[in-house]
Amino acid sequence: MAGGTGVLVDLNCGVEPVALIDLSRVAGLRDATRDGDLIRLGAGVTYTDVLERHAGELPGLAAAARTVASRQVRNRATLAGALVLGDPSGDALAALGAAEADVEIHGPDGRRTVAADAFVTAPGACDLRPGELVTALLVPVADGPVAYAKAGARNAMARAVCAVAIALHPARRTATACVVGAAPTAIRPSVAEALVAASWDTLGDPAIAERFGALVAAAVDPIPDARGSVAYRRQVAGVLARRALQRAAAEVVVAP
Amino acid sequence: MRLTVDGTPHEIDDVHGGQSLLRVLRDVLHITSAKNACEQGECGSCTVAIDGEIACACLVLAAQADGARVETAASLASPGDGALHPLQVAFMRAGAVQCGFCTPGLVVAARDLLARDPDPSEADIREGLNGNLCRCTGYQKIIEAVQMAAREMPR
Repeated sequence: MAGGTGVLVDLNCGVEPVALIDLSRVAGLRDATRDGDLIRLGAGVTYTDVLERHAGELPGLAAAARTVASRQVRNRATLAGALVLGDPSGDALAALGAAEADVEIHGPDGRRTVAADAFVTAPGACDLRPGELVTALLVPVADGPVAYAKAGARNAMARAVCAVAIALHPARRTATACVVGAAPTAIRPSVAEALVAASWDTLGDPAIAERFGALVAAAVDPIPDARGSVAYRRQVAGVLARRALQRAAAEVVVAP
Repeated sequence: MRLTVDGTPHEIDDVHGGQSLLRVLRDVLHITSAKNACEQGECGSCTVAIDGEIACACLVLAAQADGARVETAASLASPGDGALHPLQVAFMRAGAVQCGFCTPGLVVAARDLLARDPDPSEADIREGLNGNLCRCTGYQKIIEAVQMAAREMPR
């Protein structure tokens, strides 16, 4: 365990662990370093750390972090911990997916990396083998406008029913997006992303955002639960995707 | 394990492995100025500051807090003469206390908010205190109390 905000919920419900290993005081695990256009966030980095230290370089991750729980929880909860808990509606999962971040893992067989959007493999499960540990998140620095659109039961303290993160890359004239809460895993809507690339010069056209939303809604594969039905989640995914693209596109500076 | 709670050091022997900081405060040390309601980090009633950073004491493993300085709502009043903190005075003057159950967590969270942002807007206060539920739904007067305290407190 790191911050403990996930594990303690289970312990308080009476779950008796075989063993608990606290990583929160492991030296260096909370460090963040920049190497060129990549930021290495140690597995002990909290949501508050992201908001207070990295919002300039990682605005998409900060926008998602701001919607997570409360200050009390964000002070301790780690992004890596949230991924390992395997919540396919996680805010950090969406933002890391849109940023094309990697999860760095160390284990008996050495070091490997997994794309963040592929790390959560099912509700409550992740791509971590016995003996392995997430050691860092490798997050590319934002190179253009980002947006995060989330729907929850209320504006605060709510897990996402669905959320869409988008990052625009003006130099490449492309977009990367990630949808959470609309499938058993995070979804990269590749057809919708391709639409943005093909429509770069007319991104401000509301019809493009409308089409983008429809393509995202077509790409998701929601599971029903207490927070939303399949039809509701598909509808919300499309609306959030449209809004996210509109917000990000409004910030694209067209070169003279 | 050792804890310093509201300035008083404690040596604690009987902590079991999965016990939360909140349980140790309340059930072992009998310190009740952090309230226990949801034990899921949803309500904020157990908000304390741990080495200066607020947290839900229910979501902290007691062992993780070994050696820490913990501050509950009882840390707001002056340890010398018991003079109330401006937030406590403001909560009373604004009528921000109904049943009072959420109040200890709220004043700890509000003190942290004002330390980071001495002049918050109403929106800042609503977002900053969104981890503290008031089941009496007395939010408007709570916000007025924080605004009142912000005006009264030395910058």
